[in-house]
Amino acid sequence: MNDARNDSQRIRWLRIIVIATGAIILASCRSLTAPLSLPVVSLLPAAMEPDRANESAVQIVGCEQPCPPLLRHPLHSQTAIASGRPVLCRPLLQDNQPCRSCQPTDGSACQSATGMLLKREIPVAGPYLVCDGGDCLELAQPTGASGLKNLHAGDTVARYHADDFGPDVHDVKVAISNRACVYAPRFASVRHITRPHEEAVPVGTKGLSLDTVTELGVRRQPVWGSTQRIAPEAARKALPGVAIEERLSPLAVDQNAFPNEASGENRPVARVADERPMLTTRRQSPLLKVGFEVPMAWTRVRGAQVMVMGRTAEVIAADRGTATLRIEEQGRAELTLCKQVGSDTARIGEELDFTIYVLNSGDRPLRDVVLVDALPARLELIPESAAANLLAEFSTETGDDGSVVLKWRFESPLAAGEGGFVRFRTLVH
Amino acid sequence: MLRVARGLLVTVGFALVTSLGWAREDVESRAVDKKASMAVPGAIGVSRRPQYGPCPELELSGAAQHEIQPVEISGPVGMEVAIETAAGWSPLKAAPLRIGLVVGRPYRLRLGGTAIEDGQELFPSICVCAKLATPAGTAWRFPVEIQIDPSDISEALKGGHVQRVIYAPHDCGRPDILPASWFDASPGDDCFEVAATLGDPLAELLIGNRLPAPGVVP
Repeated sequence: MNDARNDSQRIRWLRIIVIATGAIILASCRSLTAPLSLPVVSLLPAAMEPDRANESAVQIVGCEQPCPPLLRHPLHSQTAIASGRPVLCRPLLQDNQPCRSCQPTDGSACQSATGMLLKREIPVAGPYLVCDGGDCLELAQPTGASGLKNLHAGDTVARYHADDFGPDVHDVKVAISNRACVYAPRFASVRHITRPHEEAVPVGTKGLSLDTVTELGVRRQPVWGSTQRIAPEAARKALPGVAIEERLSPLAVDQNAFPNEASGENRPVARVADERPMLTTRRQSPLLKVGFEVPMAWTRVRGAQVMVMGRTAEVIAADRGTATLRIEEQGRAELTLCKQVGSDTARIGEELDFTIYVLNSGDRPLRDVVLVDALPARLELIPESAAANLLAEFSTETGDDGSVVLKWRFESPLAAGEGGFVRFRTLVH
Repeated sequence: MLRVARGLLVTVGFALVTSLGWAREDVESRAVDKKASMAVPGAIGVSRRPQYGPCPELELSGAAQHEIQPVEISGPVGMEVAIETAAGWSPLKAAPLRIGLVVGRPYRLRLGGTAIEDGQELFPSICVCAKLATPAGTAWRFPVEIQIDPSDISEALKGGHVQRVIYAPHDCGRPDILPASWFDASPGDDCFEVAATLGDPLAELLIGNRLPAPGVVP
């Protein structure tokens, strides 16, 4: 009897312990807070949490698709929180256009940055160079006694010919200078104003406002029964003249000014890499073959007139099928131009000074040397700044594309190895 | 009697443990508040839509300093400019103001001074889209020049929203198309799209806010 009583009492205590344990578990469950939706720890500043500041821990998952053609928002470094781990949306570039909005590929939304995740690609624009020198577009050609044609903005060339009694004394040659480039960016802006009262104005295709005229009329039909169909007809008539005027902005002029490929014009970048085969050929010395085999049939010939590359070769000796010739070379008639600019960088409104060195790098004297420099459109010549250390006649002309052409005509011939320079100052626009 | 006492004891224990659970929940919420107070500004709103605000450029590491692009903000005579950064609002200074901004981050500006009518103030936002490829050591010699026109201010004060996209023209050798070096986009045209056809968009300026953001503005 007592044993049964003790057993029931033990069971009662056991029941109490089970109830208390359940209560504790229940209370613990209630005390659990909801899981944090944001990993707050990961958003702390880098100084407070150096381990999380490691950029290598960032998972780059999104925004691999190219930028959309129509972009609405400026570029942001986009971050998102996916599965408790920071996710970085990396804006990509296409055709040098900044990506201003992007979405991750895993479907999560890109959110604004908090400053922690900075591993991204920075769009870089430029460099914006103003170059002067060389011979762009069509090659400059000598014309008349001292003229040059096919001069475009940025061309720097010189015409000359040898001053001796050689066979090519009347051949006018053209020397081309190097290109001197200056980093001179300029900025422009496009503005758009959204006024509150303009929001109700209807906007048609391509953003043109619809200046419409509505005509309302009723066309009656012949009576054929008990009812007559009367339908009002409304028509909208756009005023294309107004729209065309809106579209005729200066942009159209700039966009239509494509390079003329038929005349050899290329893109600005392609012009720099243009090869100049004519120049290379001109600077190559004639190939001379000193000795060559004479056919056996010529062994009995006592005299011969040999022409090598259009020039008469003098036979010095002929013995046993081998002839020794001598060719008199007139020497090279070559002019070298070297252009230097005073500074590598320039802001708008600053002055730039240019120096063009002229050197007779050949073996023959040169005369009628005429040096011309067609200024780029962003450079304006400062009056009375042109100078030369040699006796020269300075004048300004207009190039084929309307550019200002500076022209120096050296009055005295240049002996072999002799040189000089001209200088002028310009204003950057 | 003893049975009743045991029942009361169990009930009191149950209530005590349950109340302890509530107290623990309260403690947890305080811990969350503490973490939230330690978080950087904007951490709570990270899940919301992107919006303009101060830029914590101080959080940039040393390796990320190349992301800073110098900018020069100029305007009409008498205009004063201040900018809000992680350190707070800078004092108003007469334009032009030359500062370094992190590429891709929006900043809030404050325009004041005598150039604005009736002592009003504007709070535009600015965002640099790209960095200029300047020669070494000349980054501050060639900042992105942002010119605020007097008409921008007047339009914003009338309630208009002015968007101005600054770009660098592609063909650097040609002269400016217009003497003022800026123009209005056609109605409905996107400024970025128009600027991208002429050059590289570098910065975007939005003027329209006439009230400051919540907070203390000196």
